[in-house]
Amino acid sequence: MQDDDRPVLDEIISGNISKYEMIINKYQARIISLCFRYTKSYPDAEEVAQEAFLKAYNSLNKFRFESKFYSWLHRIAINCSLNYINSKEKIKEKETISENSGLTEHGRGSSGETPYNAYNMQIMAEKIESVYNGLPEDLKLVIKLRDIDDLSYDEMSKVTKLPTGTIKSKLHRAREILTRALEKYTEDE
Amino acid sequence: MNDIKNIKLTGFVKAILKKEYPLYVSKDFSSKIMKQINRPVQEYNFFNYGLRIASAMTFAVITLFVMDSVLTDKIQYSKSSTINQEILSPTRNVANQMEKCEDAKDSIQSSDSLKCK
Repeated sequence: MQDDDRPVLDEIISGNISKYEMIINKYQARIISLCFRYTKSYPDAEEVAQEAFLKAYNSLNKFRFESKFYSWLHRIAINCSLNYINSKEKIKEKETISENSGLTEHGRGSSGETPYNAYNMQIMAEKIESVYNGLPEDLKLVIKLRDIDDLSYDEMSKVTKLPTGTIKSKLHRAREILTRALEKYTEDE
Repeated sequence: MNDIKNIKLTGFVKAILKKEYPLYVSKDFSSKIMKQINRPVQEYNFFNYGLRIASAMTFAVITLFVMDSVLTDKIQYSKSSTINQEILSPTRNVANQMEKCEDAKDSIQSSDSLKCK
């Protein structure tokens, strides 16, 4: 199975630890979102996601590339989230929690406030959706097939009847337009 | 745009298009993890273990010395009479009880032994 992350992961395994930051940056949003489905609180979701990334890093030597790295990381994140739920349930058994405090906890996680020093993904999503809808149809199609439907380049070639090279260049152009739209939201870095 | 930032933005774009994004992501999320990864691991080698054992032994010896000097009476015993001698340290009057005394553990104690005591 072809994995886009393989070259970076090989570098990490051979000792270039700093490359792991690329992996974190690539998947952080999706993993935090996954963890939030279990934790129902954003600070906790980030904490669990952090643990998942650390576990994946520590077990990287055991990863056999039999599946995609993201699928493996996804499974680790689910396990970490389930452990979090179990530990939280144990704490709840020990403590007497009033109904009000429970509501406060839930409210804290799902409130729309963006903490200081965090990216507001809602605003970014609105921007990306409008830019994506304004893309030429051919660019929109390659983005849809690759980034939404997770098709390989060969599969995309069959669907679009275009050579792989053309698909790659269209994809590069489309991604550049989309990422440029987000640049102003990360300018303070 | 540098590599890391480009990858981060591409990740955000993909998460948004897949509708798998959280409400917010901390700006220092990745750096926090990298800090933990780069944290030096304490090495437990032979030198560290030796140092720990040596410090424990030193502490034990000093403690025993202090306890010995504080808790033990410095009583000096002498075979000769000390009546006319100048006494410099604490003394205790003792008598030689070896002559007629019997073993105190004996269950049947004679009248002599009681006297002796």
